[in-house]
Amino acid sequence: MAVQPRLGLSDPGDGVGLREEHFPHLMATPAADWGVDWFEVITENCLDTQGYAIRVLEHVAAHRPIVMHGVSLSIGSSAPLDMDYLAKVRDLAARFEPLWISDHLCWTGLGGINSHDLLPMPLTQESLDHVAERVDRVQAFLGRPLILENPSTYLEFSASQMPEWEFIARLATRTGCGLLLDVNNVHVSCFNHGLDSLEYIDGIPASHVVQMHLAGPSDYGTHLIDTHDGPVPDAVWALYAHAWERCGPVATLLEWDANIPPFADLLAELAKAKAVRAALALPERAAA
Amino acid sequence: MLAELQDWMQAAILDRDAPGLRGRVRGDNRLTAEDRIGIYMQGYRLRLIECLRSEYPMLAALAGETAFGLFAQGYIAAHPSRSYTLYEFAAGFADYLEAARPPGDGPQAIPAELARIERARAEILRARGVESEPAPADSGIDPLIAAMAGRFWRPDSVRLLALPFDFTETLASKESPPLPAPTPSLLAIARAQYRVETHKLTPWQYDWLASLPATRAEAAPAGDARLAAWLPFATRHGLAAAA
Repeated sequence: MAVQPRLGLSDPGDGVGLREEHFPHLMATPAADWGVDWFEVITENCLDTQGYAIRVLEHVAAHRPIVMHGVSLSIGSSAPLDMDYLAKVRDLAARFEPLWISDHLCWTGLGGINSHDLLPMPLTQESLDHVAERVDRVQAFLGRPLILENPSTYLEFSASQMPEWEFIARLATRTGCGLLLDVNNVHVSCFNHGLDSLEYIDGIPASHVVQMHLAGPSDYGTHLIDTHDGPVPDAVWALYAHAWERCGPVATLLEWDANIPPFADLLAELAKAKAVRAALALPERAAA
Repeated sequence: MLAELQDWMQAAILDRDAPGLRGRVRGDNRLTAEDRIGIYMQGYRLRLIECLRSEYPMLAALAGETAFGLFAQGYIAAHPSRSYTLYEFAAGFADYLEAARPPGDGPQAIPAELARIERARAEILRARGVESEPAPADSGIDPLIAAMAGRFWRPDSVRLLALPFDFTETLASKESPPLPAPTPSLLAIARAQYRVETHKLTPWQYDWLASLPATRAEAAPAGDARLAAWLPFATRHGLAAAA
């Protein structure tokens, strides 16, 4: 059966991550003047708290669509799924009604330990079977498709049997999950492993992509690290254009998590996405 | 294979015994297998140290880069995160510092006590505060008389600390905080209108706040003229809430 573009999910436009540094601006500025179509919130920052972050989220969610983006699902771990965590995610989603819930194709720890890092998967058939079974369970529990993001990676296991894009494509086709195509992560991983980033993008099943991430990595000469601490580099904009031609229109989000600039600077960087799309001989997205 | 590889990688990142790197991880001329696992090992520590620095900024400023780094690395090695949030990971830092410090009541006790204050602030930021509580009806009577007649409770967004040092000057200076005075002090940290403030208390204020119930349903009367005079301040700053 043919898969609808974006799995039939909406395209909210261009968004940014909701970060504490911008709370004062957002609470003091009329929503009509925010200059952004939607917000992505880090799921874990909104769990187990009744503080100002929730007050701001209530305000933001009343005026813009939001998406919940997690970092601790650990979908690839050989440890059991944390059902208490998942129940909290489900409760949060019931309260704030995000457009979708996303996390990463990775594992974060074993034996109760959380490394708070997005660790790479061995790309084997065994891993694929394992992750697919867990994606099915999570989607059934949440009652919605799970959207998974390709992580930045710094090592490959000798045991791996397929490229990451093939692993992701087979996982998406098998489970019906959505994809958050982080073009910066494609750039970082392909640079670090000497792979062709265009081949990576071309290997992703376009109809499963519901969102793209943009960010700036740090260049250490021999390798790139996914630091989200600066503007999006030209190489990532070029990849974004290629990905948009294949997968667009889809929601686009700019991530900036360290050395966070004023909100106006964030919007200026986000506006480049629109300029990149305008340079393509493609129709712009329909008005929301 | 999957479980074995993940178990191996986690041990490597935590700097535990993890032999067989080159058989498991691909290396090349640009980055060896050692370089590649090293990126994860370093990233793990830097991320958690940065988390602790962000949760304990006053302690980081008072202790300085080197000493704080040693505190943080010791804590990370002894207490790897077991939560999905970094907030929970940082929870036991004060207890760790207390258990790891040399014996005695001198300056060696300062880091743990300051960490306790900063943790209390972090807890209060996330606690259920008075902001969502219904405002008491305006009876039109004098606030002092209303306070005398009212019933009160202590919101979850309040922490009371009895400390062996006076951190007043330390907390007031963010750039280069001075050491606290070696004088016992009583503190309340509370949130009102989402602002967290630290208040130095007298013994009777501390004792009264400590005696208050934690729920509106169990609210207790003030019943003391000295308290009544202080209650408008206490309720305005979220130290106590009127039922």
